Amino acid sequence: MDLKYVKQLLELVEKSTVNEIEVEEKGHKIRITKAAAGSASAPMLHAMMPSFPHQVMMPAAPALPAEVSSASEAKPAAPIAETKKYHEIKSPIVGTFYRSPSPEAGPYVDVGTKVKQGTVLCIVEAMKLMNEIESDTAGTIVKVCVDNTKPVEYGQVLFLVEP
Amino acid sequence: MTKEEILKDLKTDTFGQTIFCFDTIDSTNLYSKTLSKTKAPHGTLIIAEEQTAGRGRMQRNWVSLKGKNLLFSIILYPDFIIEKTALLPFAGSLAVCDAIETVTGLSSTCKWPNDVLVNKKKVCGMLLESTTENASIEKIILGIGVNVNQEEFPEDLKYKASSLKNESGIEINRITLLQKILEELELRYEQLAHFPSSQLMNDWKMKALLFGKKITVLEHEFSYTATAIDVADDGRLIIQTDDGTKRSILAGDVSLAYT
Repeated sequence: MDLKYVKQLLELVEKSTVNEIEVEEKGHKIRITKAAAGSASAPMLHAMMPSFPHQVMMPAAPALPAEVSSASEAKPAAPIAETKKYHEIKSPIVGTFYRSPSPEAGPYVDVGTKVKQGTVLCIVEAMKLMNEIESDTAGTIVKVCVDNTKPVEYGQVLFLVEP
Repeated sequence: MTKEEILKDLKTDTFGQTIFCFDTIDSTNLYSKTLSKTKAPHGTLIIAEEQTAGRGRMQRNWVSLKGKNLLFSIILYPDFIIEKTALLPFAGSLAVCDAIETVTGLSSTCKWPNDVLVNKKKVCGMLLESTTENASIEKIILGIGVNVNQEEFPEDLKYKASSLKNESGIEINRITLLQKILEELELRYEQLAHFPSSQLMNDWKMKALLFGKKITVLEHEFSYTATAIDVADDGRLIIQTDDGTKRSILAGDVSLAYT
């Protein structure tokens, strides 16, 4: 991967409110994360082996309008110590995260919503299989960890619930 | 359409062996969600002549004239890995595609990931819904709508949708078609369960419409044109964008670009 391109990415992340981005190109994958979410510290770079050989490449920087426009919505991640006491709801599959049943409808849950075991929290779609993700615990939603319509990976935390 | 008519000559082990038949219902998928595993075992069929709240992906309306088409859901309890479960849309569209060809003689194609087209017009759509608890998928509802004998379509759909009757010129026996779909579905489900995913995906690719063609991809808030290249064994559509970059997509709407 071109070092100049990596440098540009680092600057992009540093200047934005996005905490983490992942780019894959020609078999090389890098993930850039800010050391402490929400702080002004420099972004960190992780080089990784491609986990999905078929996912060959993300569009280059100019084709990322969705990512950039979502920057204002991104909320700083909760400090690690704080997340420990909360129950994590993770994605069981790779897919696209939807907070509501349709673009017109309101979200299933919001921060502050009280949920029971079995309450539908969101949909993760993979190839038109719409998976309703249910809460496996009773409690209150304290954080929605992913922006609407963004891709999620297997095991990624979607919600934090305070039991 | 009655239970007895459907069960007569149905050559399946489980698919369609338990049936809930309705004249009018809100949606067969919604009803399926309310059924427990004891009431509705694996392969249960829920079918209606009319839906008052038929839906597609993202709650889009699915409109169908009463008594003309096939509107049904199958309840599945997959006992295979979650990665294979994500391939059920391909098993579904391939089964419908094969059943249409056998029963009507019409040549049909699959559009990623689960639409079935005849003469490039959509004749079948699907909505797969599942509930996930403790990181495992318990129950899958495979909702299928096939335009069989409907002749009139709304103005805005005329060039995108059609029915088997409109394309073949003959009235189709809905029960024969349903039975064939159930048989093909059971076969494809077993293929997915017991063989490597690549087998199902290779069969699906033989019916794929999009490869090598210019397509319009609508991903959430933005759309772009690209060329469809392949489908990976995990179901992702591999595309090449106009600037030459390759990428794969997991969700979104894909249509043939008319440029």
